[in-house]
Amino acid sequence: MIDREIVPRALPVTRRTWIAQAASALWASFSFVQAVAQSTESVSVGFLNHYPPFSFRDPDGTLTGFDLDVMQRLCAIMGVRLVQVPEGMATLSQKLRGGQIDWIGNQLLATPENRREFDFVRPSYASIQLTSVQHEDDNRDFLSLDDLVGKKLGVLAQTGVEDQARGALGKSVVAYARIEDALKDLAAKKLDAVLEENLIAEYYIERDALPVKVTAPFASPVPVGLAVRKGQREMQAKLSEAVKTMLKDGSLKAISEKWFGYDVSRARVGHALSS
Amino acid sequence: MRAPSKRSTVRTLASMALGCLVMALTACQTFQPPAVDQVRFTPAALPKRNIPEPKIKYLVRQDGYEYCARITGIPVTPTSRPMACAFWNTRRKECTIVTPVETGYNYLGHELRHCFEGGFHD
Repeated sequence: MIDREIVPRALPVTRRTWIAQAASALWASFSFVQAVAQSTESVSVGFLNHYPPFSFRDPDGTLTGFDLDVMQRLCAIMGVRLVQVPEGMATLSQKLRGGQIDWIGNQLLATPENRREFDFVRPSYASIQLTSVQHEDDNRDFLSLDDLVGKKLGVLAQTGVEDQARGALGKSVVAYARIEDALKDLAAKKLDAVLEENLIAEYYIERDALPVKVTAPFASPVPVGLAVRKGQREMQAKLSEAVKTMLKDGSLKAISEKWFGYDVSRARVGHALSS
Repeated sequence: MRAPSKRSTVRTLASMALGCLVMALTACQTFQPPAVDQVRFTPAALPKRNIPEPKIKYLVRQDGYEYCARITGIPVTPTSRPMACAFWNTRRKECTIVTPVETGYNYLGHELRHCFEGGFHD
């Protein structure tokens, strides 16, 4: 049995009432949208425009990277909405100092200069270290520049690594504008080794399926961290708690395995210290 | 010739004694193994290891102290030094232990544990 549809009796509406009702409906919907937007506080996080694999644009022009995924997770833990601000380093520093962004989403080197300018969030979530990279088939042990005398070494051009390598090895050092080109030449056995930061090397090895491997560390792990504006103690503490949660709940491990194939928050070197 | 005064004799003897003490300490100084090596431990269970079954390489280097100092950031000083170190590649399941030419069982054992468990001490 189908009941007859009950049609409410239309009330007479004057033009003036209609306008008043429409205006009040419009205002109500605007207030609702505003309330929803305000219920989730947003934070502006700065990212370097071109810093693969940490933050860079994919072929569609979308900003992506390990640090993007990490910041999305940190914001989810903190219950805030992430607003990406991609810029160059100089602009990011300026915007952080001026309060236009809340923090920088790429971990910065905790150098004395940077410590004077920013406050750093602890703990750090990725261990960065200069390492040698060799061909899969190469079982020689290169642990120092002395071991590389007479060998062809690839480095990133115009860096401290290039200066040091040139000082020790002279003309056998080949400097590249893009480190991925050095790794491709290593894969083609045109070089004996490449010196590069472990995570950057691991990313290109994974991305391009190169027949090369990260071998011995050449320096100690570099202290890094997220930078917030000087004196922003509350933000620093909130971020620190969120990083601890992310390390503890396994979410960093998952992000890390997606980009590098292993958990990058764990140490890569150990020692026995005697005194 | 004038005989040395009592005060200068005491001073000379004191400095000789101090010199002997410094020489003895320098000559006989043996670095004590880290505290973590002096206790028994239960190895981590297979699923909790950093690399469950690592492929291990052992390198004995003339520059062992210096290399370990360089990659760990712990300096070699007259009173402390890294006696051995290890580095590992989790993705490739490989680990390398480095010691100087002269080493001890505990240092090799310590680094071997790193190869399985990753970081296990400060």
